[in-house]
Amino acid sequence: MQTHRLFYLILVVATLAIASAQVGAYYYVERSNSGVTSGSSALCNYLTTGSSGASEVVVNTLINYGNGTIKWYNQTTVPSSWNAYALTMYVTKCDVQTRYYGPPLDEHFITGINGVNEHGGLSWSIWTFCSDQHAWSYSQVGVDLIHLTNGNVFAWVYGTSSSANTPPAPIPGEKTVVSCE
Amino acid sequence: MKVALIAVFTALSLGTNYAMIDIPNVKLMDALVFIAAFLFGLQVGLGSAVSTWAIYGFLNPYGQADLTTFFFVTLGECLYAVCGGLLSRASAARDIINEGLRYRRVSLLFGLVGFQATFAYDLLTNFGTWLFRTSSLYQAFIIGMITGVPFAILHEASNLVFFATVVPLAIAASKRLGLAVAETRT
Repeated sequence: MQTHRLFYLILVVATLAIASAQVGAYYYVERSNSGVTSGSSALCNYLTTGSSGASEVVVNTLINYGNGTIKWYNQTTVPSSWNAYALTMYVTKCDVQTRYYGPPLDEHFITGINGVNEHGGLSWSIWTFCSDQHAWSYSQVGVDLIHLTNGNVFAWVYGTSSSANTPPAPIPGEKTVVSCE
Repeated sequence: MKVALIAVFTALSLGTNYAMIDIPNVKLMDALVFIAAFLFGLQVGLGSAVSTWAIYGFLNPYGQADLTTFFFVTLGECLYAVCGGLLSRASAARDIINEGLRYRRVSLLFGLVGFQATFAYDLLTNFGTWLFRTSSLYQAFIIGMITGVPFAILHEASNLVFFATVVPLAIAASKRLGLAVAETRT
C-alpha cells in the first residue's frame, strides 16, 4: 500500500470526481423531468438546436389530443439524421414524458406529450401517412426506429389502444392501412 | 485452451445476464470479462466480451440491438478486458496478490478500477446512442451523458460492488487452484 500510495490516491480522487459529476448530472435530469427547466433546459436546447450544416428534411407533424383538438406542425425543417423521437422533442419543445429502455433495446416509449399523459386505457400512438395510398398507417416499430425522409407526415394520437385494438385514426373518417406499400 | 476459456466465460456471462434480465444495467458480465482478462490474458478477455455481446445483443428478450448500439456496447465491453489485462501487469495488483490477498486492499483496488471502467463504458455507449440523433459529436456526448445518467449511476454502483466482492473472490479461488497465468506472477 505504501509503495502505491499515489496510485491509490489518483484512483480515489478520480472516482470521487466521477461520482460527483454523475450525481450532479442526475440532479439536473431530475430537475428537467420534473418540469422546472423543461422546454428551456440546456438539454432541450442542445437537442433542438439547428442542424449546423447537416443535410435537412422537411416534415409535417400532427398531434391529436383525442378531445377534438388537433394541432399541425407544418413544414418543420430538421436534420435528416433525426428520428421521430427527436422530431417529437423538437416540435413539443421537449414537453414529452418518456420511459427509456436502455441497451440493447435503446428505445423511448412516449407516455406524455404537451402535458397529456397516458392514463388508464388511454395512451399515445404514432402513425405515418402513406402518400401513395392516401391513408394512415399505425407504426409497427418504436419511435426511435422511425427515420425521417423529406415530405414525411407523422401523427401522434391520444386514445384507447391495446394489443387487441388498433388505436383510433389520426383524423376521424380518414382511411387507414396496415402498412405503407 | 484460450478458445475453451472464452467459451466458459461467455457461457457464464450469458447465463448470469439472462438470469438477471429483469434488473436493467445490473449484470455480472462486466466483472466476468474483467476476470477473464486479468487471469488469462487480454485475448481471452476480448474474446469473451465480443462473443458475449454477439449473442446477447441479438438474442435478447427486450429486442435485437441495432448495429450502432451493438458496435458501441461491444467496444465498451472490451474496455473491461483492457482494464483487466493492464491491471494484471501493474505492480500495484501483482504486489497485493503475491504478498497474500488482503481482502480490504484488493476490494478497494478492484472496486475503484471497476467503477472507473464502468464510467468509461457508460460514457462511450451513451455517446453512441445519440451519435446519429444529433447534429454534432459534441451534442451526442453531452446529451448522452446527461440523459443516460440514471442508468449510469445504477450500472456504476452495482459494478463497484461486484468488482469489490466477486472479482477478489474469483482471483483468490483461482490462485488457490493454481489457475492464474503468467501475468499475475512476478
